[in-house]
Amino acid sequence: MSKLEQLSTPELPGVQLKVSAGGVSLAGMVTMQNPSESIGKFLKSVHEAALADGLKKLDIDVTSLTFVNSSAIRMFIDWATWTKALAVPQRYILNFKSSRSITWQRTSFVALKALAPEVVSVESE
Amino acid sequence: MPPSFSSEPTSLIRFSCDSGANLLDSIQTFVQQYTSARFRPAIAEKIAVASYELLVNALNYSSVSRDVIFELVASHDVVTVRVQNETIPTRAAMLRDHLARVTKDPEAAFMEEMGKSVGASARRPSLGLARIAFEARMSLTLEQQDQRVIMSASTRL
Repeated sequence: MSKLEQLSTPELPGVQLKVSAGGVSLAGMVTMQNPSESIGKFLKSVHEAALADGLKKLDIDVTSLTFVNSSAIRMFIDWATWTKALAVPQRYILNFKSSRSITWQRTSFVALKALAPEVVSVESE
Repeated sequence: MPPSFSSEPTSLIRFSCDSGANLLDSIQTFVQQYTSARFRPAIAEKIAVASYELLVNALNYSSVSRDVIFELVASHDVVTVRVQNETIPTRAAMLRDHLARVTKDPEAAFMEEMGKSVGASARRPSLGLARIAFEARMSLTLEQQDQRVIMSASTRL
């Protein structure tokens, strides 16, 4: 079993987190004022597991993440920053699976891809 | 039955809360449930962004009196989220400058704030207003009455 699959997901109000061999999914709403203390720590552990597993691409399914606050958007920016800071052979692609029908996803992931095109890809459904 | 509004603005929701109370999650859940039932999804989504981001700004930066007043107002063709709080003059001036930048070019401001967010404090407020203007396509205004700041975000229904 991969390091990623061994991760335990925190139980948080309003948001559901899941891991699989190739990625993670986030669903629900992120309204907590400081999500970096909980979700951010979880995403950091996903990042470390992806590195340990030697992944070249990690899928992040946010198609059911209907609302996020600005602090949560910052977590995705931080994640791209961690990955971008790695030496090129270690890097993996953050492949966001997003929904065209959710406004925040249309704007934020386009901006995120513009900020870190080397490590971010976006699929829209 | 479709919602009906008079031509005069009607207050749909109005409450005040103590900025020290940790009520943001509860307020947001209530506002989203109410607006999802009352408005079409695209409008409810815009109100969700505006109500959250204006409230968190007010809750984080209130001073003097800790009361924050939230109001959702609708006329037959416009809905407005209005949040009032008291703050210090320097903070109000910063807010006014930032708002001028955001309203001048919402997309440029959003991209700039996304870039600035790298490694920024979680309490840094600037991305929120840019989201309201660019993502939610709502018009933003700021009124100031002495130390009281009133931020409004409006959209057509």
